[in-house]
Amino acid sequence: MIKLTSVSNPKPAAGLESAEASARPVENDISSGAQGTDSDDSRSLKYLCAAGRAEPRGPRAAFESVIGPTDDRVRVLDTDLYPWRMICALRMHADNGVSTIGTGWLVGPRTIITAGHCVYSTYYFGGWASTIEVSPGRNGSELPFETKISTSFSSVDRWVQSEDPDFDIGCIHLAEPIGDTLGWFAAGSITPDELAGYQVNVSGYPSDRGNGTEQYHHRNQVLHVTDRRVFYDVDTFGGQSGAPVWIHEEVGAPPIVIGIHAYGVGGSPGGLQANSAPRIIPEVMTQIREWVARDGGWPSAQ
Amino acid sequence: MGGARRGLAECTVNRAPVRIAVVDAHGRSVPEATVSVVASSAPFPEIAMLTDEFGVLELLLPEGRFTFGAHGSADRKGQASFECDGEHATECPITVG
Repeated sequence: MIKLTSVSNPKPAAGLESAEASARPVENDISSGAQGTDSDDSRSLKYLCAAGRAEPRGPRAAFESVIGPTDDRVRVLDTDLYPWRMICALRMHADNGVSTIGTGWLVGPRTIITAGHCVYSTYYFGGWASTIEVSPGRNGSELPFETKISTSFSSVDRWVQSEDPDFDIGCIHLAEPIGDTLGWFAAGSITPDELAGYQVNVSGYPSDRGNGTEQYHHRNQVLHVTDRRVFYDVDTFGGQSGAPVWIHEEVGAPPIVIGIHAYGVGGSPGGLQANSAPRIIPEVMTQIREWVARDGGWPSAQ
Repeated sequence: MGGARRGLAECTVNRAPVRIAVVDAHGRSVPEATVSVVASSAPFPEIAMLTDEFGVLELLLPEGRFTFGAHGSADRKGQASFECDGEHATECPITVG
């Protein structure tokens, strides 16, 4: 087992340090999610999301992140409802003048998980991002919830040192507990054998439609699972980096995030035509728990 | 490119600066266009970049072949492919229309 160590940007917002507290004890490899204070279920959740297992199938020939001859992404319109409102449009800015678009998701009251390259990238930022705008449930020009700006980010040592795609994991720390109202996703470490039979859901903010302001969802088969990555036949596009990759264990069950979407087809092993995510493995679960603890922890009732 | 040079000094893989300029069919620069990799020979993050007020963005790329797609306002889009040798600066113009 590899020990991951959190690395944070050098200038965390002053107000956040006082929010540190102990997390609840770790009991298993699935954290509890929460629906927030508004319990309205989205009709889109019923119609768009896959539940339970499906038969795996072989890869299809394709070249781009939109895999196959058709783009099957569907726009989510009720982004103010659970679980879509827990998915956030991100705008990252860096001191070198570069601005980028990505996606993040709530995993605790004050904690957003995203891809590591959304908070730290030598490709784009020359290091750490300087500020990130977080817009939960953004729906085009409509902002159903207030946009928050954070200057406090974390990643893991393996990402910051080598930008290894297997460790492309990042965290945005918020000053306010917006998850108390919006809810947060459960995250879980599922074994490769179990994961291979699932359909996965990915929803985020692609740049090719609405310039990263509209949320799009697609679900499809898991094609391949390695120790650290999950590869799937789900259509995505640039801007969806950091989006949650989730399953439903059965119809009506709450979503469980099992990966953090980060990569398109390029570089997939064995010529596999699939998009991919670093998996939430036990080491990543431990790290997520530490980040949530730093931000004040989950409520004790969770 | 100041930030990109800082990144270049820190990284262990050879990377070269790439300058992407997005223009419309009349050759005018397109600020705030979104640019992302739509195909590459190496793993590349699915992030989208925004052009600056001059329709330009700069980043560092490793050796490989890349296709970038750009989206401007009113659903105007375009794409361009190029090879990066990981050593020399590359220009990549993209016309959206």
